[in-house]
Amino acid sequence: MSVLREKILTTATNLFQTQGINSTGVDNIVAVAGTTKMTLYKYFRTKEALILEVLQTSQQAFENWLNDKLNSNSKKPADKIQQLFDYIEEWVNSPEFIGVGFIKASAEFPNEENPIHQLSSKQSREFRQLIGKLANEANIKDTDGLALQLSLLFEGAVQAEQMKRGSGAIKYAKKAAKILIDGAIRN
Amino acid sequence: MLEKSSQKPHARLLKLFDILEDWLDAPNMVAPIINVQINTVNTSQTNTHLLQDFLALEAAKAGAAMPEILANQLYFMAVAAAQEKLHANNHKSLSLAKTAASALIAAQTKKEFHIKKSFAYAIAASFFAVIIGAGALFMFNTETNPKRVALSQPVIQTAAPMGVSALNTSPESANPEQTAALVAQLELMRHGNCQLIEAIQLPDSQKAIYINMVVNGHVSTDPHEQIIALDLIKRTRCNYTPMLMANSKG
Repeated sequence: MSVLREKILTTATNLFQTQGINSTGVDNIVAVAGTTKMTLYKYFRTKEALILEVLQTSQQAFENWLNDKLNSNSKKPADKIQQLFDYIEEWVNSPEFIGVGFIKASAEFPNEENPIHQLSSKQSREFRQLIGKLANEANIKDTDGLALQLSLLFEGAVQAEQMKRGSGAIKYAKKAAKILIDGAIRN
Repeated sequence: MLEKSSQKPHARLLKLFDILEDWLDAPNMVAPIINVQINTVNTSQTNTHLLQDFLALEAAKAGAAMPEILANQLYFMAVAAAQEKLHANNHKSLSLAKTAASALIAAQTKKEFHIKKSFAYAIAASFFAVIIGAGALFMFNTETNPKRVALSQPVIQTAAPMGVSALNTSPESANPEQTAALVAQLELMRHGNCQLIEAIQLPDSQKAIYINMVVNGHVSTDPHEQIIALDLIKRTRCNYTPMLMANSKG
């Protein structure tokens, strides 16, 4: 990837999360990235294409980070789901955390026909599938049910954290997740 | 509708999920109308704020550590679950979300207190010293003046306030002056015959505070409980005339 393309992508990611996707204009992105509109459109055909790329890149980075954590620190399958929220809390509390792209995007683009909404819904489903996979490995019966519950807790806490940094919402979501996971393991 | 759904704030918060479920299951609700209305819930700032304010108020009543944050999370979870039911045809989404919400409310309303080790040792040492002191005083009293105990039997026997009860520790600490005033009142009452006949008719929550704090002398650190206890003490009638003097009047 060219350095300039990467710079535009990083700048757009930060601005989308901190100022909002719709509120961030292309002019703003190029000004902060220190480039021109022409260069931006050379790499990203439209603003929509840039948004889609930002969503894909940031979600991929988060999932890679989470999978590395889960695979390197959790040996038993049952431990992975128990530790999932520990890692999420670590990530949310890290200084680099600026939010979750698909949560912000789905709120800003509620129209189901919009490709941005469609991608954010897909990413939400994929994240839930990841939780479902962990629940399955831990021999939990209702994997879909638990995956939905944990993803709602995760998304609700991140939404709160995006509104107020350092809100502590993730701490309570983690506690609630533990209650639900313990209950699901017992059943 | 939510406001009248239950008497307990915890239940009222969860009722949101039931109401959404019933609303989406209503036979006359056709898909396009639901979509419009769900979008209204999503986009109408006024409605969103009204509902979130209500949820925050109920969350505060339920004793949530961070009512506004909890309200925001519950609102998000309810809307997301409703959309899941509509768009993914997941009929269990709202009941699953309700269970998750219940766990979240439990996590936020569970009282937690962290006492430093050194502080815990200090409390244990003070408690031990109070026990020894009380034991020694009791021995001294019964040996030197055994009749005095029998003569000063009050209608309400307020036990000595054995320090501030650690079991009742609440995250919101009490005002020291208020605690001192309460302890002083209870000490004074120990020297008289006190009664509050209306105690039988008190609501259960107040009755528990009355028995625990006024009668048994266990002072809670919860400022709200202390205020209730002080109010109950005000309403309690006490006679501080020494028993022998009172008898000699007749």
